[in-house]
Amino acid sequence: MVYHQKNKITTLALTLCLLSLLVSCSPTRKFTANYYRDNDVLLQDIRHQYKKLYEEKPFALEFRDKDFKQIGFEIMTDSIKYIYSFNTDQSNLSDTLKRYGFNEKAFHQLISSMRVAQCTWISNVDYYELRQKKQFVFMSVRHSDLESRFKAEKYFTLVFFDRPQLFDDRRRLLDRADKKNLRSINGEIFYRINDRVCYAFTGHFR
Amino acid sequence: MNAFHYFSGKMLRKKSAKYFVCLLTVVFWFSALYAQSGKKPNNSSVQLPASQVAALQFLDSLGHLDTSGYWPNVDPGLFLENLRVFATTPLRFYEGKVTNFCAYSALTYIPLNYDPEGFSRFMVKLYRDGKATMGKVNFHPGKAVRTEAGLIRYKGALDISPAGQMWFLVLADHFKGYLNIFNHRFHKGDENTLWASTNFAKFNRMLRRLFPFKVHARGADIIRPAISKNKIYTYLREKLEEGPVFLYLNNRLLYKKAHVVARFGIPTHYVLLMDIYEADNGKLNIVYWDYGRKSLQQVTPAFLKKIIFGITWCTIKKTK
Repeated sequence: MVYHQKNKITTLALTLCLLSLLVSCSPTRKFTANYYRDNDVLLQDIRHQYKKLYEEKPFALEFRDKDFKQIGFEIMTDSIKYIYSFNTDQSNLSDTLKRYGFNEKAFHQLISSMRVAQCTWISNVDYYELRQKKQFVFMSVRHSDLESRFKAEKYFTLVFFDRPQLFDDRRRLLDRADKKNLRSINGEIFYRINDRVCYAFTGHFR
Repeated sequence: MNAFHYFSGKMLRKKSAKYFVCLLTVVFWFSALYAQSGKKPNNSSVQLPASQVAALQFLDSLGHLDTSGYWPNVDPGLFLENLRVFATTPLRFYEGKVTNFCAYSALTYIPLNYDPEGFSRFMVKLYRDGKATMGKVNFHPGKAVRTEAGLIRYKGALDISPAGQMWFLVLADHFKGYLNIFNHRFHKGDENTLWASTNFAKFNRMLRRLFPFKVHARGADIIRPAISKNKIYTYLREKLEEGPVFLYLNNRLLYKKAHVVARFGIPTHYVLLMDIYEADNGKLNIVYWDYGRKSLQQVTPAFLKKIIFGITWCTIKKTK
């Protein structure tokens, strides 16, 4: 009798451990749904701000620290990519923006919006469909709900397409050209949020 | 018709004739310009280095290629177009997103920069015969690799570069290092796995066997070269004067984010160092080439020392 009770307790403890391990390993769907619903307008706004600035001069922007004060700024020209690092309140950020002809006010607005959304990285990414070059906006968000002492870093990555995409019945992003293969982005499978936006939880932010 | 109308009519006809001649000149000029811009780049329309001109002349002399039975998924038209782009804009050569082809891409700078014609001839022979020789290496790729070339997708511009895919797959298939022991044979998707990865010794071996350069190296896979942070600038500067310099570095540190708790100190990426110079603030400006583009980044000497695990530089072999 005592033996059976001990066995039961061990099984229960093991099950609990396993369950907690599973829960801790996979970011919840609830996070995805809630986060996007709560920040939909803001995220779309960031995307529009970025695209407008990008049309003037191609660039990518990242936050490098937890306090969202230090930025990494990559400016792309035809021949070279310039990689800068600034504190957002540094005067040499303004000097650089002026030098490259950026709209300073719009740029600072983008920085503020990204800070509010805890968006750590934004860039335009090339992809090819039937040999035609296209682009989507790639954004990664670092959220406190995804942090853990025991887990490797995780980012909530979002991809914004300009036109509706195809998804399979498991909500996975499909290749628009052949309509069968899963389209991987940076080696990850992406899941549907709506017909133009999809997400993945990834270990890398860019 | 009164005199005014007569003269104005005559004037108008004269003016019209003048306008007509001007118009004809402009149309002729534009059509000549258009015809020139429509031509494929060749030695007469663009000022190119002689080696690139020779490569283009060779590729133009081929006319067109028939589909190769050895490379069933490589479109011959696109293949030749890729080779033209490689010859004329070597720095746009692209390894693809999230692949382990960075080592192969870095070393491709040598043939594309020093012998684009030789590289084009090698690639065409490989396409036609399924085998070819470069330096001391006879490439005879297996069927799995030959079938995959042209099918790699979702890697950015590498998607539309079957010639690039062929070259990467052939190199990864032929050269093996200790990192490839547990994944020796190609399977679909292996461009992202250990099958394609390159340790420092393998990288140097590839350079030695493929190209007629004397290859020197310092560093190792997990031990940094013993060069102090105060001397690293002078050291790299000196090596750059001698020939192409490749750096084996920790890419994750290069793109470091301060909110990340731990980073393993291992190198993961190969780049070609193109320039290094001191900035006014005591930092170093490094210009390196990877992912089809040059990048300029400012780093401290201490940081540069921290990320570099291997330095390889090539010098021209002295013949007796």
